[in-house]
Amino acid sequence: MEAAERHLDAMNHASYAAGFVTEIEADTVAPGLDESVIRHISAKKHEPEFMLDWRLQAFRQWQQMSEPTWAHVHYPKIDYQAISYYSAPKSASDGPKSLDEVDPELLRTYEKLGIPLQEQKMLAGVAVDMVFDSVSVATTFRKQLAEAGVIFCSISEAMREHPALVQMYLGTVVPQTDNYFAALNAAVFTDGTFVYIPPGVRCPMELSTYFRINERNTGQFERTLIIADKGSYVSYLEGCTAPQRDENQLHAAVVELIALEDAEIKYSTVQNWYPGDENGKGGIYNFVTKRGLCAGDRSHISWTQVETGSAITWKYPSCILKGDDSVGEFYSVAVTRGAQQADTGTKMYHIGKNTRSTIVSKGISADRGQNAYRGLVRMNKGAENGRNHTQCDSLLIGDKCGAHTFPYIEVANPTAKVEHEATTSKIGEDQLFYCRQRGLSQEDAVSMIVNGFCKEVFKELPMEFAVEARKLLEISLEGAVG
Amino acid sequence: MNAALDNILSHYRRFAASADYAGLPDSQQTAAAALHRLPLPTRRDESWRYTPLPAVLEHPFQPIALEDDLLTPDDVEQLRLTPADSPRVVMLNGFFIPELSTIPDDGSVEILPLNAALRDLSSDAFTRIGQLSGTRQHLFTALNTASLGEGVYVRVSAGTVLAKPLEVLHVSISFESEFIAQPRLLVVLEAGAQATLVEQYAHLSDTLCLNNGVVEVFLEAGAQLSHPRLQHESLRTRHLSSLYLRQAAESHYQGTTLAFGGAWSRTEFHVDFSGTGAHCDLNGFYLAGDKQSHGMHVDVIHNLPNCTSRERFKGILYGNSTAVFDGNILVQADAQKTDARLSNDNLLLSRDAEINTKPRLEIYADDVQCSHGTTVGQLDPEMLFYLRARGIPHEQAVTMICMGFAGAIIATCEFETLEQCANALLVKRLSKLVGLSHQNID
Repeated sequence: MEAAERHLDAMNHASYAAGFVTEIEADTVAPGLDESVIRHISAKKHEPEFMLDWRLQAFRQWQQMSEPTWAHVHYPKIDYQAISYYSAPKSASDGPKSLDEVDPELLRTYEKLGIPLQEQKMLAGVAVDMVFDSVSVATTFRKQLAEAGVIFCSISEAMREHPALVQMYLGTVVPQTDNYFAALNAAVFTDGTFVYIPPGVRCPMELSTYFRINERNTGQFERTLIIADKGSYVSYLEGCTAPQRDENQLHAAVVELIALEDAEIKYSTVQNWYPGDENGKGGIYNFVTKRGLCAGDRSHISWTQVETGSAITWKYPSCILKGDDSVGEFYSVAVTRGAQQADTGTKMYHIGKNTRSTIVSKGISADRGQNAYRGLVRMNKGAENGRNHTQCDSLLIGDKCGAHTFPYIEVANPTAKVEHEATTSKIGEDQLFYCRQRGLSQEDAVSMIVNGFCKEVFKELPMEFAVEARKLLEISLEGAVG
Repeated sequence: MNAALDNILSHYRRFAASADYAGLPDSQQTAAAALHRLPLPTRRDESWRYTPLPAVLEHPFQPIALEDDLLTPDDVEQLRLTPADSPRVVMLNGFFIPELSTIPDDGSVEILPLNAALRDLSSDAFTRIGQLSGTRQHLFTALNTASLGEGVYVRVSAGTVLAKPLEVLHVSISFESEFIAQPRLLVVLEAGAQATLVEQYAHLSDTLCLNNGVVEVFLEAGAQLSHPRLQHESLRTRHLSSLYLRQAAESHYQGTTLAFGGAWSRTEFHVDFSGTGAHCDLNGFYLAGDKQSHGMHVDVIHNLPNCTSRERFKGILYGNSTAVFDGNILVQADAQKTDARLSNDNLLLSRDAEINTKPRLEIYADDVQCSHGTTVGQLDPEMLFYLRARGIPHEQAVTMICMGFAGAIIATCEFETLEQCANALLVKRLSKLVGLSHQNID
């Protein structure tokens, strides 16, 4: 056990590998939130009139709402008036048309993170729509995508260029007033991604966005809207990492997915926001609303997430299975260590006939981490032959951590079949012993066992992400077990 | 608050105001005060999320006085599940009836009316009453605790092994309907004592009452209690009962609750430990038919190391019924080597039945083994086909499968007469529904 303590110690003091602040001049509004801030954001983004009304409506509702307290997380009260709701890198105002025009400072930041943008063009198959703080600064492979008819741009651009599409779908899956954080997002979101895949098109490459939080004391409110028209397919990757800082940062994003008839959307996330120091000070508050609507028959939405960062994660990527024979999937690995807290899971609403859903959730808690799975499976009266299988397993590493499971199962149709299984345990002494006996180091043995524990989820990730996720997990749990 | 409930509350508030506080246990004083403070549970409360209270509140249930001539020795004879000479406690509408009870004088078990037991301020009953129910109390438990006195105190002294099962028979009967019964039971098994406690909630007339019962059980070191409970109240009754259990080191509890009756029923189980190495086995079965609503709420706190628990609940739903299973196992930071398993399986036999289940685990210790599992499904067509291929009529096949499904829980009662009674109830109820399920399955 002595070795364990040493490792634990080493890990606790290991600094955040991606922690650095890029110095870039930013155009930031003063902290505080009122209607004038919202008007300012809307004007800054040259939004159509309907957007401003939509935002104001959300804001007025938000003022009536109260912050949810049901999640299994604890944090000091957030002062929403102390947050600055808009920050755009200065360089963005000129609107760089190509990589050469992008601020070299920015590019260096991404290089540190291992995203060599210069090499992106050569890296076949991945287009990157980068969001640095709140404004998209570079988009690659636009042309190639445009040839296929795919629209892949920032959401503010989409509002200007494709207002009809935005107006038709924005807020249809996550209404403005869905919940406290979603309402806040609707009022103040500054940017995000918009994807539209036309009927019958298989998106020629995996779409990817890297988010960065940068400016001090700036909340980040992203909004993503992905529409897969009839018979289309898209795989979307979202990855996050953030510089080290002291102030807690609020991140309240909204992601809406819409899959029409026979369409498939695969949404993968690797989230590694700054988790805070060993006492949880300074980490990101990640309050995200993600929801997909399987609107058409035989549509398919799949969420895969690897959550290793953030001081607090509050996130329930959900599927509304409205179309007959539609399929919803949720695969998740959530790691909490130090003082991290995660309350994450999914909701599967079965509305259509023969709808199927699968939930695989793997929670790993180390140090004083608190990890909760919270999920709802609802079989409506019309969900004839609905099928759900849920598996949620928790792994405990250290005697001060916690793993919690809060499943809700509501069944109103007798032909529906729902199964839920959950286990909680620590790494088996016998498994460790077996590995050690064969000459593996303690570290390698733990890493192997943990990777095996998460395998079911990792195999759902696209290739590039799977490698990154495995590495991230290894770094995250370095020395957590002796 | 609600008008119907106001009626009851104001009665008990008056009662609490007139009582001589000096002589009352702390828990009763606290509860009486809480009646002014505690809100009516709503569906916004996590533990009442799926429990529809309007079923309870639409009737102006009245507190009533004891009418002991309502029940005769013949009635008891007809209802009893234990041998005639077994120790027996008879409760009528929440009032203890010593005349109809069988209280042994061999010193093996002490059975006292609660108000007599509480008279002595230094007594065991006085110090224990409300100790458990006071900790996680809601308005209804507070209501019961505030009106203590008419219940029973049972104590099995150290090392005693009760040869005969002890039966507690709760009977509700009235010619004026819409009343509230508040049975209260305090059971103490001292160190090393062993007993079987058979509890039965029965009715003799088609009463419309609100049963608001609280049972507190203390198992001292090494004590063993087998506790089968059968609830077959009238189908108009609203039944609420809360079991509070505290287990000391190496104690063993084996309990099974079978819920058949009541238009609305909610059974709560609250378990914690005061010593290590204890084992708790909680089993439950609910049969919810037309317009019935059953709730099973399990709240087990593993607060000490090396304790084990098993929670197994099953339900069959048909007609226009709803059921709730809400189980929570909390393993606190010090409770290493805990081994807890929670399972809930449901069979939906009709289109309009709805089940809401919520098996939760909350774990703060690492060296534990915990699991939970839930299933919801209909009758397996392959099973039915298998039986029908062997010449068994559809109705009988359905009954056989349901009996097998429920049988696994009913058998854990380990008390033959009660199991027979439960099986008979099940067959009777199932025979009515098979026509209905026939349409669904074929």
